[in-house]
Amino acid sequence: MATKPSLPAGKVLVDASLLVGIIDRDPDACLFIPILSRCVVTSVNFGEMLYKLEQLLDVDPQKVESAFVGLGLQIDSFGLSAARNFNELKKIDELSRSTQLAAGVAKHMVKSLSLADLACLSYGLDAKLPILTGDKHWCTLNQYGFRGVVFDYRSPVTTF
Amino acid sequence: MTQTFTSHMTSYPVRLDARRRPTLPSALLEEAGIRAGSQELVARVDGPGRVVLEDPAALLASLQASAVAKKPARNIRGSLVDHLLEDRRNDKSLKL
Repeated sequence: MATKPSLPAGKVLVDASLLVGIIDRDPDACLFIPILSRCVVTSVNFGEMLYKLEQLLDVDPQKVESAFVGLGLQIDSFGLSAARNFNELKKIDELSRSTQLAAGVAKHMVKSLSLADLACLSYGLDAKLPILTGDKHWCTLNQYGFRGVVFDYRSPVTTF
Repeated sequence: MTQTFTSHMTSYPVRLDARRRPTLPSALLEEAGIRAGSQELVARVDGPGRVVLEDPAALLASLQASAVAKKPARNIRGSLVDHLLEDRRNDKSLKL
């Protein structure tokens, strides 16, 4: 019987998608509220989450920050050593895109990495932290050489 | 247990001592549904001369309720995460 993948003990890097999912009361995301005190998010992805919630629903960014910080979430600045991983990630992205195109995926359906994606993934590589996201595409990147560990919080097998 | 709040809540005078410590009246905490002791709170400045002290879990619950309630009026269907991921897919900053 296959072992269910589970989050390792210790710090976990979370993507903006998990935090947006929590505010949206996504039950899969809310499962992780009790472990926010061992989670870290980059300032870039935190900012992304804040603007998205305000843009869509006028959610007060100061209150969102208070709630997550109060629950123990650590917000870390994004620095140069993480940024140095962008080149490697863009090569992985190009390989992933060309493989999708070769497999017949329509050009407009090809999944690729945005700047926000790069911010989270590169910080995860730099800090050697497992990454928790709602973006299933990130879980496909290992086959193209991504060295990090990604968990999809929407997968029913991600436990802690 | 859900607590119901009215718009007429009592005001209590509170003094900061020389070491910046306030003593919060028990009736104030009771009215707010905050238990004294080990409960973690979060504090923030909410304007000149105004400090808000909150239970982060209660604040999160209120943000969640407000966000979910606003979705139909904003014509937002499906999950907010899907909107975020769609935004990222449309990010042209790194496209060749």
